[in-house]
Amino acid sequence: MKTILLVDDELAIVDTIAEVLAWEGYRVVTAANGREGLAAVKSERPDLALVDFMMPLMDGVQMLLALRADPTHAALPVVLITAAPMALPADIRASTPVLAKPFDVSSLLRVIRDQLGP
Amino acid sequence: MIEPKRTIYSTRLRTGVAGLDTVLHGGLFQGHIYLVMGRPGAGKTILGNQICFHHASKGGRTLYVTLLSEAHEALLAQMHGMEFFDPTFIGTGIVYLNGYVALRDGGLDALLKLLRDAIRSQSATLLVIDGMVMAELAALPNVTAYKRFIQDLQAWVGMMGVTVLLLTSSDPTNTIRAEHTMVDGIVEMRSITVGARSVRELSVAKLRGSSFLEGCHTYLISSEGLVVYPRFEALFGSRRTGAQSEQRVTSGIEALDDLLGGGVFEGSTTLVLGPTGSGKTVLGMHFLHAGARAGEPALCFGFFENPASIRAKMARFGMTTDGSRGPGLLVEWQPSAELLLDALGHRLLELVRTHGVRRLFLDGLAGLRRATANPDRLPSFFSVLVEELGALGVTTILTEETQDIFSGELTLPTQAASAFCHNILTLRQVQVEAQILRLLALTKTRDSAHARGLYEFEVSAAGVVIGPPFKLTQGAAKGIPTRGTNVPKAPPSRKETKRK
Repeated sequence: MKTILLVDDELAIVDTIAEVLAWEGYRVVTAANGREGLAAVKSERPDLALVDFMMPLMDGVQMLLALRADPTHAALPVVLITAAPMALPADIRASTPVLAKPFDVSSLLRVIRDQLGP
Repeated sequence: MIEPKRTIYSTRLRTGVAGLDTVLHGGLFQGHIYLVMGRPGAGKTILGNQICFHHASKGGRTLYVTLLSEAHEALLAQMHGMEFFDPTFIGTGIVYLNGYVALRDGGLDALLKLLRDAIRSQSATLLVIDGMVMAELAALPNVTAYKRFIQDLQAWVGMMGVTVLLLTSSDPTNTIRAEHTMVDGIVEMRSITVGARSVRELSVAKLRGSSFLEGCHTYLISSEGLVVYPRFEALFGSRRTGAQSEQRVTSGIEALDDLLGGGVFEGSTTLVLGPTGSGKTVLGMHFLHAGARAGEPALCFGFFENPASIRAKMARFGMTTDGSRGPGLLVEWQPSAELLLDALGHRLLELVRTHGVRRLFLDGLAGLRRATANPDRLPSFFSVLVEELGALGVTTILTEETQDIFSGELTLPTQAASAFCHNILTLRQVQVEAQILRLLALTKTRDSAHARGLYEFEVSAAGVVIGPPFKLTQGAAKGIPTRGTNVPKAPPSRKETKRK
C-alpha cells in the first residue's frame, strides 16, 4: 500500500482529500504546515507528498526546497497544491508538478497516478 | 501543471423550476452550497423535490436527506400529486435517506460521515438536506461545530462536484449568521398577507459567481410544483427602445383617425379613459377588428368579459373576423380575483410573442391594478410594459374606467398613467336637457398634432360613430355643458403618411 503525505493547513480540505485517498486504497498521513511536513517525511517515509503552497510557519515552496537540499529525501515526488499557481517562482513551476485549486477528485487521482503509477 | 477545474464552479445546474432559472440568471452552480430559507409552509420541500426530479430527468443522481423524524412515505405521498413526480426515479435517480437517527445518536460528525458515504456510494451530483434546523440544534451550545460542519461539507462537495441545497427555517429575527457568509447562495421564501390575500414571494439574497434578478419575485404552488414569476420591472426594465415609428395605424374608426392626424403611431400606447358605459370597449373592438381584417394578429386581453361574450358583441356590431386573412383575433380572459401582476405581465407578453401580435386591446387597467398587493409598483410596471410592447412593435389601446359617471373632475385612477401613454382619449357622458350624450376628446397625442375640442359620438348598430364638434362649448369638459359662442377649430388635415 502506497503512503501519501498530505500537508495543508485547511482542516476541511485535509479531511476531504484524506478520505478520498483512503477510499482509493492509499495510506494517508497529514501535517498542518511545512515544518510538520518535513518531520512526517522523516518519520513516515511517504511515497508521495501533496503540499499546499500557502501555509503558516513554513510554506510549501520552503518545504520543497528543504527536501531537495536533503540527499535522503531529494527524490521524493512532490506535488504542489495552490489556488495561485502564478504566485509560485517560475523555476518551481517549471520543475514541479502543480495541482491548481479548485480541483475535483479525478484531477487529484490523475496527478497521483502520474507520479506513482497505476 | 494541471489547470484548475473552473468548469466545476462555472457549470450551471438548471433547477427546472419555471421562472427560477431566469431569476438566477441561468441556474445554480455545480459544486456550490445553497441555503433555502422559509417558514413552514413556504414550499421548501416541494421546491427541493421539484429540483431533484428535474435533475434526475436529465440523468443526474440525487440524494434527498431528511433530518426530520417524518417518514419518507409521508413525504412521497405529498409529492405524489405533483406533475413533476415520476415514481420510476425513486431509488435510481433519486435516493431518499433519513439522517435523523445518525444526527440524534452521533451528532454532526456522524451526519457528515453518512453524507460522504452516501454521496460516494450513490455517485450523487445533487444533494438536498431537508430540515437543517435540526443540525443547528444538534450542535448547540457549540455553535462552532455547526460552522465546522458546513465548512467540511463545503470542502467535500466542492471536490466531488456535488451541488447542495440546505432547506431550513427562516430566522424570524433576521439575524445574520456565520453560515450565511459561508454558503454560496441564499434564497429566501416568504408569504406576505395584504388584507385578506396571501402572496408568496422569493428573493435571492446572495449568489456567488453570478448576477441575479434583484428584489422579490412572486410564486405560486400548484400541481406543477412551484412556478416563479420574475419581477416584471427587474426582467424587462433595462430595455431601451429606439425612436418612435413614423408609420400610422388605423384605430378602426376613420373619423377618429382624422382627429388623430391619420391614426396612431405604430408601437404606441393609447389610454382610453371614461366612465362605465361610455363606449371604451366598443372603441377597442373597432381597433381589433381593423387589425384582424388586415391579417394582423390582434389580441384582446381582458378581465371582465369572456371570449364568447366579446366575439358575440363584435358580431352584433358587424365586426366579424370570418374570412379575415391571417390568424385573426385572440381573446384572453383573466377572470380570477386572485391574480398576480407579474403572472399577468408574463402571460401577456407570452401571447404577444407566440402569436406575433401587432395590435393589443387591454380592457381594464383595473384588472392589473387589483392583481398587486403593492400599488406603488404600478407606475414602474406600466412604464416597463409599455416600453416592452413598443419594442415588440405592438400598437396598444388600454382602457381605464373613471369612477364617476357624471363628474366635473377627471381623475386618472392609475398614478402616472398619462406619463407612460403616448396618447390619451377621454370619453364622457353629459346631460343635455333630457338626453345623455357621449363626448370624446383627445387630451394628448405625443409627437403629433390632433384635433382640439369635444366631439359628440354615439354607439350605434355599426359601433362607434363620431359626429360633429359639440356645440355647447362651455363647461362640457366638466360634464356641465352650457350654450356658448366659441366654435372649435376643424381637425388638422390628415398628413400624407402611410397608414395601415
